Amino acid sequence: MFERILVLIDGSEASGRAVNLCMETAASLGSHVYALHVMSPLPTVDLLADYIEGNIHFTRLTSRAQALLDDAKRVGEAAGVVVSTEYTFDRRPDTVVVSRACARGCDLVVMPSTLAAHPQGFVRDVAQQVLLDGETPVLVCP
Amino acid sequence: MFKHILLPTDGTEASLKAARLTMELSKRLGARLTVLHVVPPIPRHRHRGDAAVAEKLDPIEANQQHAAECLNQIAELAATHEVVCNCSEVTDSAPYRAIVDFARQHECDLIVMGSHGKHGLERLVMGSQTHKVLLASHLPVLVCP
Repeated sequence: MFERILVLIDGSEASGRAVNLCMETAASLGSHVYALHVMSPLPTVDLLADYIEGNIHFTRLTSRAQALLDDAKRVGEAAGVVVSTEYTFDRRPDTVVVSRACARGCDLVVMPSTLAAHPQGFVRDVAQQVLLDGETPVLVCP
Repeated sequence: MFKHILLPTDGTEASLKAARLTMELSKRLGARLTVLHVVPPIPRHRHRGDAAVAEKLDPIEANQQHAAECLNQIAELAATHEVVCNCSEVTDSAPYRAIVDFARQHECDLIVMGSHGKHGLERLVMGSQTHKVLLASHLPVLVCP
Protein backbone atom coordinates (compact mmCIF):
# COMPACT_ATOMS: atom_id res chain seq x y z
CA MET A 1 0.00 0.00 0.00
CA PHE A 2 1.04 3.64 -0.50
CA GLU A 3 3.77 2.80 -2.98
CA ARG A 4 4.12 6.35 -4.23
CA ILE A 5 3.50 9.33 -1.94
CA LEU A 6 3.13 12.95 -3.02
CA VAL A 7 4.06 15.53 -0.38
CA LEU A 8 3.09 19.17 -0.87
CA ILE A 9 5.67 21.59 0.54
CA ASP A 10 5.30 25.28 1.30
CA GLY A 11 8.21 26.05 3.63
CA SER A 12 6.08 26.45 6.77
CA GLU A 13 6.70 24.69 10.10
CA ALA A 14 3.69 22.47 9.44
CA SER A 15 5.20 21.64 6.07
CA GLY A 16 8.43 20.57 7.78
CA ARG A 17 6.45 18.27 10.06
CA ALA A 18 4.54 16.92 7.06
CA VAL A 19 7.82 16.14 5.29
CA ASN A 20 9.21 14.32 8.36
CA LEU A 21 6.00 12.33 8.73
CA CYS A 22 5.92 11.55 5.03
CA MET A 23 9.51 10.28 5.01
CA GLU A 24 8.93 8.17 8.15
CA THR A 25 5.84 6.64 6.57
CA ALA A 26 7.64 6.07 3.27
CA ALA A 27 10.57 4.43 5.06
CA SER A 28 8.20 2.09 6.93
CA LEU A 29 6.26 1.17 3.80
CA GLY A 30 9.09 1.21 1.26
CA SER A 31 7.47 3.99 -0.76
CA HIS A 32 8.82 6.44 -3.30
CA VAL A 33 8.20 10.10 -2.48
CA TYR A 34 7.43 12.88 -4.92
CA ALA A 35 7.92 16.30 -3.33
CA LEU A 36 6.01 19.18 -4.91
CA HIS A 37 6.17 22.92 -4.29
CA VAL A 38 3.53 25.15 -5.89
CA MET A 39 4.01 28.90 -6.08
CA SER A 40 1.60 31.62 -7.08
CA PRO A 41 2.48 32.99 -10.52
CA LEU A 42 3.49 36.63 -10.71
CA PRO A 43 1.01 38.96 -12.42
CA THR A 44 2.09 39.64 -16.00
CA VAL A 45 3.00 43.28 -15.38
CA ASP A 46 5.16 42.35 -12.39
CA LEU A 47 6.71 39.51 -14.34
CA LEU A 48 7.60 41.84 -17.19
CA ALA A 49 9.03 44.44 -14.82
CA ASP A 50 11.05 41.74 -13.08
CA TYR A 51 12.31 40.52 -16.44
CA ILE A 52 13.49 44.00 -17.32
CA GLU A 53 15.22 44.26 -13.95
CA GLY A 54 17.04 41.00 -14.57
CA ASN A 55 14.64 38.38 -13.13
CA ILE A 56 15.63 39.19 -9.56
CA HIS A 57 12.33 38.24 -7.96
CA PHE A 58 11.81 35.23 -10.20
CA THR A 59 15.29 33.93 -9.41
CA ARG A 60 14.71 34.44 -5.69
CA LEU A 61 11.43 32.51 -5.87
CA THR A 62 12.86 29.59 -7.81
CA SER A 63 16.00 29.43 -5.66
CA ARG A 64 13.87 29.29 -2.53
CA ALA A 65 11.71 26.61 -4.10
CA GLN A 66 14.74 24.51 -5.00
CA ALA A 67 16.19 24.95 -1.50
CA LEU A 68 12.94 23.72 0.07
CA LEU A 69 12.88 20.70 -2.20
CA ASP A 70 16.56 19.96 -1.56
CA ASP A 71 15.88 20.03 2.19
CA ALA A 72 13.04 17.55 1.73
CA LYS A 73 15.27 15.35 -0.40
CA ARG A 74 17.96 15.34 2.31
CA VAL A 75 15.40 14.29 4.95
CA GLY A 76 14.25 11.51 2.64
CA GLU A 77 17.74 10.28 1.86
CA ALA A 78 18.59 10.22 5.57
CA ALA A 79 15.58 7.92 6.04
CA GLY A 80 16.57 5.75 3.08
CA VAL A 81 13.73 7.00 0.88
CA VAL A 82 13.98 7.75 -2.84
CA VAL A 83 12.69 11.29 -3.44
CA SER A 84 11.97 13.08 -6.70
CA THR A 85 11.12 16.78 -6.70
CA GLU A 86 9.35 19.45 -8.73
CA TYR A 87 8.36 23.07 -8.34
CA THR A 88 5.80 24.85 -10.47
CA PHE A 89 3.67 27.99 -10.70
CA ASP A 90 -0.12 27.76 -10.45
CA ARG A 91 -2.98 29.68 -8.86
CA ARG A 92 -4.69 26.46 -7.87
CA PRO A 93 -2.42 24.11 -5.98
CA ASP A 94 -5.23 21.56 -5.64
CA THR A 95 -5.46 21.01 -9.40
CA VAL A 96 -1.68 20.67 -9.62
CA VAL A 97 -1.68 18.14 -6.78
CA VAL A 98 -4.44 16.08 -8.38
CA SER A 99 -2.84 16.15 -11.84
CA ARG A 100 0.65 15.29 -10.58
CA ALA A 101 -0.68 12.56 -8.28
CA CYS A 102 -2.53 11.05 -11.25
CA ALA A 103 0.42 11.43 -13.65
CA ARG A 104 2.90 9.96 -11.18
CA GLY A 105 0.63 7.18 -9.92
CA CYS A 106 0.66 8.46 -6.36
CA ASP A 107 -1.70 6.69 -3.97
CA LEU A 108 -1.30 9.03 -0.99
CA VAL A 109 -1.02 12.80 -0.73
CA VAL A 110 0.56 14.37 2.36
CA MET A 111 0.09 18.05 3.00
CA PRO A 112 0.60 20.53 5.84
CA SER A 113 -2.43 21.97 7.59
CA THR A 114 -1.59 25.55 6.66
CA LEU A 115 -0.50 26.65 3.24
CA ALA A 116 1.64 29.72 3.86
CA ALA A 117 1.79 32.67 1.51
CA HIS A 118 -0.65 31.34 -1.03
CA PRO A 119 -3.82 33.10 -2.19
CA GLN A 120 -5.77 29.88 -1.73
CA GLY A 121 -5.53 30.32 2.03
CA PHE A 122 -5.95 27.39 4.40
CA VAL A 123 -4.65 24.13 3.04
CA ARG A 124 -7.60 22.38 4.53
CA ASP A 125 -9.55 23.88 1.66
CA VAL A 126 -6.89 22.66 -0.73
CA ALA A 127 -7.15 19.27 0.95
CA GLN A 128 -10.91 19.39 0.48
CA GLN A 129 -10.53 20.20 -3.23
CA VAL A 130 -7.99 17.43 -3.68
CA LEU A 131 -10.38 14.97 -2.03
CA LEU A 132 -13.29 16.13 -4.15
CA ASP A 133 -11.34 16.19 -7.41
CA GLY A 134 -9.31 13.04 -6.94
CA GLU A 135 -9.62 9.56 -5.60
CA THR A 136 -6.45 9.68 -3.51
CA PRO A 137 -6.36 9.57 0.31
CA VAL A 138 -4.97 12.74 1.85
CA LEU A 139 -2.95 12.91 5.07
CA VAL A 140 -3.23 16.40 6.56
CA CYS A 141 -0.53 17.21 9.11
CA PRO A 142 -0.96 20.03 11.65
CA MET B 1 5.71 6.29 13.23
CA PHE B 2 2.05 5.74 14.04
CA LYS B 3 1.57 3.59 17.14
CA HIS B 4 -2.11 4.17 17.93
CA ILE B 5 -4.68 4.83 15.22
CA LEU B 6 -8.19 6.13 15.91
CA LEU B 7 -10.90 5.13 13.44
CA PRO B 8 -14.21 6.95 13.99
CA THR B 9 -17.11 5.20 12.29
CA ASP B 10 -20.71 6.15 11.60
CA GLY B 11 -21.72 3.01 9.69
CA THR B 12 -21.60 4.60 6.24
CA GLU B 13 -19.88 3.23 3.15
CA ALA B 14 -17.29 6.03 3.47
CA SER B 15 -16.45 4.83 6.98
CA LEU B 16 -16.16 1.27 5.76
CA LYS B 17 -13.75 2.31 3.01
CA ALA B 18 -11.66 4.18 5.56
CA ALA B 19 -11.79 1.11 7.81
CA ARG B 20 -10.42 -1.21 5.10
CA LEU B 21 -7.51 1.16 4.51
CA THR B 22 -6.90 1.46 8.23
CA MET B 23 -6.76 -2.30 8.70
CA GLU B 24 -4.03 -2.60 6.11
CA LEU B 25 -2.11 0.35 7.49
CA SER B 26 -2.41 -0.90 11.05
CA LYS B 27 -1.13 -4.31 10.07
CA ARG B 28 1.81 -2.93 8.05
CA LEU B 29 2.88 -0.52 10.77
CA GLY B 30 2.08 -2.75 13.75
CA ALA B 31 -0.10 -0.02 15.20
CA ARG B 32 -2.82 -0.36 17.81
CA LEU B 33 -6.32 0.41 16.55
CA THR B 34 -9.26 1.95 18.38
CA VAL B 35 -12.66 2.22 16.71
CA LEU B 36 -14.96 4.94 17.96
CA HIS B 37 -18.66 5.54 17.41
CA VAL B 38 -20.23 8.78 18.61
CA VAL B 39 -23.84 8.42 19.73
CA PRO B 40 -26.01 11.52 19.49
CA PRO B 41 -27.80 12.32 22.74
CA ILE B 42 -31.58 12.06 22.71
CA PRO B 43 -33.42 15.29 23.66
CA ARG B 44 -35.31 14.87 26.92
CA HIS B 45 -38.69 15.51 25.33
CA ARG B 46 -38.23 12.48 23.06
CA HIS B 47 -37.60 9.97 25.81
CA ARG B 48 -41.25 9.10 26.21
CA GLY B 49 -42.81 10.53 23.05
CA ASP B 50 -41.92 7.71 20.65
CA ALA B 51 -42.53 5.05 23.29
CA ALA B 52 -46.24 5.81 22.88
CA VAL B 53 -46.13 4.15 19.46
CA ALA B 54 -45.86 0.47 20.22
CA GLU B 55 -44.05 -0.64 17.06
CA LYS B 56 -41.31 2.00 17.35
CA LEU B 57 -38.17 1.32 19.31
CA ASP B 58 -37.17 3.54 22.19
CA PRO B 59 -34.81 6.10 20.57
CA ILE B 60 -32.11 5.38 23.13
CA GLU B 61 -32.35 1.69 22.35
CA ALA B 62 -32.31 2.44 18.62
CA ASN B 63 -29.13 4.50 18.99
CA GLN B 64 -27.47 1.80 21.04
CA GLN B 65 -28.46 -0.82 18.48
CA HIS B 66 -27.02 1.30 15.66
CA ALA B 67 -23.81 1.87 17.65
CA ALA B 68 -23.43 -1.87 18.25
CA GLU B 69 -24.01 -2.59 14.54
CA CYS B 70 -21.40 -0.01 13.47
CA LEU B 71 -18.80 -1.28 15.90
CA ASN B 72 -19.49 -4.95 15.18
CA GLN B 73 -19.10 -4.32 11.46
CA ILE B 74 -15.62 -2.94 12.00
CA ALA B 75 -14.72 -5.57 14.59
CA GLU B 76 -15.56 -8.29 12.06
CA LEU B 77 -13.45 -6.57 9.44
CA ALA B 78 -10.57 -6.37 11.92
CA ALA B 79 -10.92 -10.06 12.69
CA THR B 80 -10.66 -10.99 9.00
CA HIS B 81 -7.51 -8.88 8.71
CA GLU B 82 -6.12 -10.31 11.96
CA VAL B 83 -5.91 -6.86 13.49
CA VAL B 84 -6.59 -6.37 17.18
CA CYS B 85 -8.89 -3.43 17.78
CA ASN B 86 -10.67 -1.87 20.72
CA CYS B 87 -14.18 -0.57 20.22
CA SER B 88 -15.55 2.42 22.10
CA GLU B 89 -18.62 4.59 22.01
CA VAL B 90 -19.19 8.03 23.46
CA THR B 91 -22.24 10.28 23.55
CA ASP B 92 -21.86 13.81 22.28
CA SER B 93 -23.94 16.24 20.25
CA ALA B 94 -20.80 17.31 18.37
CA PRO B 95 -19.12 14.20 16.95
CA TYR B 96 -16.04 16.10 15.74
CA ARG B 97 -15.38 17.38 19.27
CA ALA B 98 -15.82 13.91 20.76
CA ILE B 99 -13.39 12.46 18.22
CA VAL B 100 -10.70 15.08 18.84
CA ASP B 101 -11.08 14.83 22.64
CA PHE B 102 -11.03 11.03 22.56
CA ALA B 103 -7.87 11.02 20.43
CA ARG B 104 -6.14 13.35 22.86
CA GLN B 105 -7.26 11.49 25.99
CA HIS B 106 -6.22 8.09 24.63
CA GLU B 107 -2.91 9.27 23.14
CA CYS B 108 -3.74 8.41 19.55
CA ASP B 109 -1.29 9.66 16.94
CA LEU B 110 -3.40 9.35 13.79
CA ILE B 111 -7.08 9.76 12.99
CA VAL B 112 -8.51 8.07 9.88
CA MET B 113 -11.87 9.14 8.46
CA GLY B 114 -13.99 8.82 5.35
CA SER B 115 -14.58 11.95 3.31
CA HIS B 116 -18.27 11.98 2.44
CA GLY B 117 -21.16 12.50 4.82
CA LYS B 118 -24.36 10.56 4.65
CA HIS B 119 -26.74 13.50 4.45
CA GLY B 120 -28.04 14.94 1.18
CA LEU B 121 -26.08 18.09 0.43
CA GLU B 122 -23.08 16.92 2.41
CA ARG B 123 -22.50 14.24 -0.17
CA LEU B 124 -21.49 17.01 -2.58
CA VAL B 125 -18.70 18.17 -0.30
CA MET B 126 -16.35 16.56 2.15
CA GLY B 127 -18.23 15.21 5.19
CA SER B 128 -18.91 18.05 7.59
CA GLN B 129 -17.64 16.14 10.62
CA THR B 130 -14.45 15.20 8.75
CA HIS B 131 -13.92 18.82 7.82
CA LYS B 132 -14.44 19.93 11.42
CA VAL B 133 -12.03 17.29 12.70
CA LEU B 134 -9.42 18.55 10.22
CA LEU B 135 -9.86 22.07 11.54
CA ALA B 136 -9.90 21.12 15.23
CA SER B 137 -7.36 18.32 15.39
CA HIS B 138 -3.77 18.71 16.50
CA LEU B 139 -3.03 15.24 15.17
CA PRO B 140 -2.48 14.11 11.57
CA VAL B 141 -5.77 13.16 9.92
CA LEU B 142 -5.87 10.68 7.04
CA VAL B 143 -8.96 11.28 4.93
CA CYS B 144 -10.07 8.56 2.54
CA PRO B 145 -12.29 9.48 -0.43
